[in-house]
Amino acid sequence: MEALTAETDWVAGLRRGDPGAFDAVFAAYRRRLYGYLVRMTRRRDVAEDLLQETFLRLAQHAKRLADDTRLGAWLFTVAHRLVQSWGRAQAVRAALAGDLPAQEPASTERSPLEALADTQTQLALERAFAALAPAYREVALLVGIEGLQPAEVAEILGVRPDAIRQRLARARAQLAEHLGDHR
Amino acid sequence: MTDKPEKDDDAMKLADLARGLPPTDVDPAAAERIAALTRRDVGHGPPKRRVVEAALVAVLVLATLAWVAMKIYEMLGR
Repeated sequence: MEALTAETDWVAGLRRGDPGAFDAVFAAYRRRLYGYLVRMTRRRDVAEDLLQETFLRLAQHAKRLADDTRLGAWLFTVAHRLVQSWGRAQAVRAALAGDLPAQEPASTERSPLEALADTQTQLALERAFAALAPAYREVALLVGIEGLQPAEVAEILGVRPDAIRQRLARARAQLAEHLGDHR
Repeated sequence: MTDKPEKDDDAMKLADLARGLPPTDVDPAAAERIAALTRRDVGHGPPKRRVVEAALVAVLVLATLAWVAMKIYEMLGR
């Protein structure tokens, strides 16, 4: 209830163009959005750029927000669309570059994201999430980490709730397969 | 009949797994830079440059369409 009140206050503040409200929203959502962006793009520099663009859009749309805007859903919707655009641009770049693989080649070295893992279990988990197809990874991150409801995720991604439940089941099965002994 | 609990179970199992992921956060210096860059746009709407660009593109497209229509009319008139 408290969180809801804070959110309502933030939306009201944003609609007034109050930078203090913006700072509060930035502090509340920056880590969550960055986690989603970095695990979707697998690149810190890109995640930072998309984080900036997400908050830039919030700043520019601040006065046009509806009173009942759910900021989490709004921000993740923008972030999702930015990830989609980035993915499309990557695919076009890869196509123009010839038959180069769209994804990074497998490497035995740790990626910057994997370098955050303190234990073998964390590393295995990070790799298992990274190995998921983007559509499954996205749902697994939004539901598993962000704790969003499948119906809310369906709204963010613009798909039916049934599709989200299906992706959840597949993500869970693929993770179990990847993790094997590390579970 | 057991479909929904199984699906809720997927969400719970994923949440359990996700708790084991290492925490991530944007570099503090980058966070400060992003906050400063974006904060100044609060309530200002899209930058004027973007509006001007969109208007220029619209004018260009309309002019091209008008030119094409004129050429077609000329060809048909002959």
